[in-house]
Amino acid sequence: MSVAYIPVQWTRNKWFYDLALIALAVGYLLAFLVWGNASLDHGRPLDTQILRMRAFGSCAFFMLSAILCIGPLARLDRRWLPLLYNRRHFGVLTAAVALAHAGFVLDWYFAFSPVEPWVAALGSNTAWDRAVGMPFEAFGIFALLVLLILAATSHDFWLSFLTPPVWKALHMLIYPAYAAVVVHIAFGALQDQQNPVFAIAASLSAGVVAALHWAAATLPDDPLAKGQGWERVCTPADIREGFGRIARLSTGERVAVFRHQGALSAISNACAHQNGPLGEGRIIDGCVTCPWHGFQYRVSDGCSPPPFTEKVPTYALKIEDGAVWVRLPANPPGTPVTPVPAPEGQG
Amino acid sequence: MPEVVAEIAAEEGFALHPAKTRAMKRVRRQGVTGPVVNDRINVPRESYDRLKAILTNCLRCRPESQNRHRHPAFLVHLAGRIAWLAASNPWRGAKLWAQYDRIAWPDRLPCRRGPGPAHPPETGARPPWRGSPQARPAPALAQYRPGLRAQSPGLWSAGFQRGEASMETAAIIVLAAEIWAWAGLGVGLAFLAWGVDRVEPNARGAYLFRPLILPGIVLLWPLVLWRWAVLEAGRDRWQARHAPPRGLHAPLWRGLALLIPAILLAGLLLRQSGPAERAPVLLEPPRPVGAAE
Repeated sequence: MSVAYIPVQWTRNKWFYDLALIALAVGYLLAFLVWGNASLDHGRPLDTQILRMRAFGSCAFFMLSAILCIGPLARLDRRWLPLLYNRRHFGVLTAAVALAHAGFVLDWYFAFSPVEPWVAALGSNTAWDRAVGMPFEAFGIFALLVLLILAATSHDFWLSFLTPPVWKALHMLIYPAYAAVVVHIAFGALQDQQNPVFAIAASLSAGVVAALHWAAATLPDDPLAKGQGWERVCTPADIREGFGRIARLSTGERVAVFRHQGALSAISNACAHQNGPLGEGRIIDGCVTCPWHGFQYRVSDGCSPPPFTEKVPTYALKIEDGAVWVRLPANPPGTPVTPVPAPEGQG
Repeated sequence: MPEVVAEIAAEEGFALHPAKTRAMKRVRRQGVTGPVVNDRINVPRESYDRLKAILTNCLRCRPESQNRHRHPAFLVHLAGRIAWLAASNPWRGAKLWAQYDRIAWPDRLPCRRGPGPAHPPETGARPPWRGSPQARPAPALAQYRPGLRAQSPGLWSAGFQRGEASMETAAIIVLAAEIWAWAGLGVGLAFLAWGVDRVEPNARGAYLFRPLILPGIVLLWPLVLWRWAVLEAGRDRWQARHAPPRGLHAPLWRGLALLIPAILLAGLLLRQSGPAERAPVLLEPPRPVGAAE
């Protein structure tokens, strides 16, 4: 987790995850190259080069759609969380496939003139004033640039160096990038095709992405607590042993209140790693465990157990009038706070 | 020799047409679809001489008198021929452009609206690449003749102007990207050599991961410089690390959910063969501004 950085933190599970990903991608590409030409029905067979760029382009699109589904799926149903665990490797592989697609395009459509390929790619179509025949290439280039930025900043170093909120904001570029990819396809490859198979598959994937995001965005938010200094967050009976409860404070920050060994403690809901929702995790071996990547913190002081060094802020907590209250502002990360005993069923 | 060529062509999925196969030795002119390709791509001598003769006659007599084939837009026709020649031989192209610019076109032709921007030197030193194909530079964008657009704005179709301008813009974007990447490489090497040890405790003693983060620094070096400065100055706020931009998620997700079906629908409806089809337009050759209808 922390301690000295290594290039890639592979675990047994991540190996399986990555091998499965690579097998799926390679299988798709081979199938497309072998059977794609017959099923695309272009009137006459495609050149090998064009078939190759279509294979890699469509593969990258379906991979990106799958990646985007993971976030809302994990919010809607916790059983999808294992997919989120290694989502970054998925993203890096997608960026590589998309880069191969761009390489094949440059090496075919823009390779045989004295003009530099990139200049030709950027300058050959600038008909921004029309929909049919618009420069869909530019949208693809934008999306590729975003994918490369996200892949290049996927090491944990970047989370720590940029801080998780900046990193997360940067990685939210994936949403405009996905919209750009959909433009790239809708006004690029789909304009050319007579056979509806790819159009249906692409529309279905993009439609599932859109529907899942809509469903996850309309999930009810945590109840709002208002006030200054001490803020009421919930009642002790709301919290089960070994689990937590999230509440949003008037400052907008989220607190996670946990019950461990019959006593309540409050820590920040944002994991120090990627700002994952600690309150949705549970207590394992005496530590709150982040549901995203398994980072752990002691509830009493918000510190990761040695040798790890991550810390999250803690909050002073009290039980009054049958309710749980926490005090703003939060204590600096790693400040010990004595847990407040609250037998289950009280309140 | 022909067998070898036929084999190479067959490997690439082509077949030679026996009736159209010629062997042209080094000593004679090797012409392919017009241009000559002996040493490097060039135009045949007589094409250049003929064009030069027409331009010279345009200077001596009335330009219209040289329009023997009654081209509807003679000026454009000549410009096109010069551009074709300049594409393979910029040096000769520059000489012809210089002649072209001196031609006294009739008043109604927009070509006489004052001098255009500087054009390639008329009788400058020979370019260093001449005669040595290896040293040939990539054709500069100036060969697209920026002056022409300024001189005769009404004459050129919008598409031609746009194409020329967009190539210039594209070249500027690519140049800017190169400068950005070189600056990023400089920042990256400096940061990885000593900055990262100063601001990132977990990086001390860890070296294998450093090449892995170099591409990110090249792409995002201003952000790296900013964080580096903040951490060096000790201005990092711990509270900010625990305040994820969660408020952004719901509106972004809703926006995405609405945008994607809209784009797909637009892409499926707006097609050349679709319901919003435009009637085909017969393209006409460009006419000079004010020319007789």
